[in-house]
Amino acid sequence: MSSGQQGAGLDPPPGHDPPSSRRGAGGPRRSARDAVAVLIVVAVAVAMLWTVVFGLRVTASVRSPTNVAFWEVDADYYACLSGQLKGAVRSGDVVWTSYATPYAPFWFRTLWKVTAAYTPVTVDPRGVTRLYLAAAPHGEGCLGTRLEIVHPDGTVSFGHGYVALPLLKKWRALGSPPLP
Amino acid sequence: MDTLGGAVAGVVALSAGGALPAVAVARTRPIVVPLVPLAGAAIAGLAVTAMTAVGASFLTWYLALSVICAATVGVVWARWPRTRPWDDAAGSVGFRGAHLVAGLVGLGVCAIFLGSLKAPMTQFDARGVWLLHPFWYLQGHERTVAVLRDRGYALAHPPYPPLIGGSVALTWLAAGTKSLRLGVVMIALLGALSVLAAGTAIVETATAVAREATDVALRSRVVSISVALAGGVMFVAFAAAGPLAQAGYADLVWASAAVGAVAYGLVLECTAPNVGVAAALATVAGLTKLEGSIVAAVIVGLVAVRWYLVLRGSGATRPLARAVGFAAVPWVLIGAWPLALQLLGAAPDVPFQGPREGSDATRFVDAASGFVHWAGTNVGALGGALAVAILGAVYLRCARRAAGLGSDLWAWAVICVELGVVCAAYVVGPGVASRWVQVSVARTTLFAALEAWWILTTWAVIAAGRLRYPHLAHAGAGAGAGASLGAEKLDEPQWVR
Repeated sequence: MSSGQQGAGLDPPPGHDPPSSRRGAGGPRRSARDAVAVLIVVAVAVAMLWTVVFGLRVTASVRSPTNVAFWEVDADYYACLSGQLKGAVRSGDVVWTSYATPYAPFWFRTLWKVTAAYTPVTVDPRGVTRLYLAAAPHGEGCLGTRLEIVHPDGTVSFGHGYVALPLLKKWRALGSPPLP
Repeated sequence: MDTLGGAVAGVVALSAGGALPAVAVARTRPIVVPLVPLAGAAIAGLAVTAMTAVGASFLTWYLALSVICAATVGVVWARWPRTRPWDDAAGSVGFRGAHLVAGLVGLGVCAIFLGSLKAPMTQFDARGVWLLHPFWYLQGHERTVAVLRDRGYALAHPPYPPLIGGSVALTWLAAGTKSLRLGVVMIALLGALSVLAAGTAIVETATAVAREATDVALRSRVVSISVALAGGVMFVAFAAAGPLAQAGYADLVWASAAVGAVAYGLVLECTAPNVGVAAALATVAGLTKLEGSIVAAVIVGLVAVRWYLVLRGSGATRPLARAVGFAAVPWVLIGAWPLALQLLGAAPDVPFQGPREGSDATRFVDAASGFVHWAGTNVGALGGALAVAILGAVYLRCARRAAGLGSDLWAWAVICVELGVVCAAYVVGPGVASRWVQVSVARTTLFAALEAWWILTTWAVIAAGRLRYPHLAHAGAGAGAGASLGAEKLDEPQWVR
């Protein structure tokens, strides 16, 4: 690689430097290069360290008992809805789903996400089974909601299944936060 | 099977398909460790493409493609014995102790961040996008095609590239359970493997710098600092991605794979094994996300240009044909999915965001201010990298050349393309730009941020070769002595190496 540079008389091969190139004899330009090298290593190391500390703090907060409890509740909530769905609708049946979620205006297409994995979903509600999330009596079911199924013939049924009581208590202890 | 057992089964299933292609490309170098399952993931993505385009089941295609890849490797090894990993010294590297220590450090870093999986996070896109796809893929050709053609599924982005869905689908088959938790863990593992792959390139860079030193103490100093920097940059990758990397998002997978592709293809010495690794990692990036497909295609093109210049400079026969032949393979692999979508009449990916609001100008302003407000740390990394890159280019570029490393202008070109694509999408896309930027810009600029950190780390490794050892610094004397114009003329082809 450096042969071309040698040919130009610019760049002797590393490790074969004349004595005049040693520290102290290189002039201000070389001192500047050495200073820049130190500056770059130190700056990158400090920036990395700062980012690593920040990352470790984020990791610690992710692993905090409160966060773990929140996501355990989230997982059980969706598992509960999925269980209600599979108990009420056969895989392969075309359904329409409501986007509304009781008590939780920030939840976005909760039921759609559960249903689309399991059975075909259509945007046209005519002539197909329609699925809604409705309020469950006494705040039970899946954290206060349950599946409402309106069949093509107009009959209505509800999903069965609920999150375990300890998880329900855990969710309420967290302040009943909305789940993503 | 529990989640841990399922994850092990998934990695084994991916590795079974990816082992021979990865070894054929990377030979016996440390990169082969993360590349084996990542190559399997790429095959899983291609199996989804074939299943969607042709029919039959996903598993049938995964097995068939794995066998085809293995047979191809066998033929290549039989026809060209020098490509065999056990016969070829060029594919191996020195400093094995340093690579071993760096690998252990990297695994430690991955373990720390994967500890976040203690919280069973399944964020919005994981549940609404990445974990829906494998359900459809496992339901077969007809269901997958129906979903792709139905605008009602736009929320789940069915046209997204299929590597993540294919990998999770294979894991579910191997584990015997369609667990969402297992899917999230596998996505996090793929992200960690990509980070590890990019991290190995830092140590390879360090060995290139250290080889230039005749002083044993200097070599060990450079390598030691570089092992620490490699661990640091892997830490930074996880920190920059944040908790989403463990919550089922795919951004870290493609971003880190693309960073690794740039490192192996455009920074490290332009050799056949390095170019092969770059192609493999670019394919992983290109099969993971839409922006990854574009960036990966650009990376492959730039690697081909660099490969062509090196071949031409070395007097190799048919350099253009060989460079184009190299680029054609990953381009075809990356382009097969969008081509299949076109032929199948899939619905476009964007309309669910609602009607477009604002003019191009106002949307550009919204995007620019969103970059600063919602991706400030990523923008900061870019600014820092730019400052260090300028300093390095002025004061250390000859040390970089002496180590056989390519110019980081290549990496900056890829960053500019990625940011340009992202910005253009925000400006000409649907919906309300400011809202779209707010929820996505930290992820869409992740690649640029990681690449910036990689540029910073590379310069730091080069600078480490000069710390208190001025005799090595003499390698850069010419350019810094006011004779740089002449040097640039004489060395014109070298800046691309």
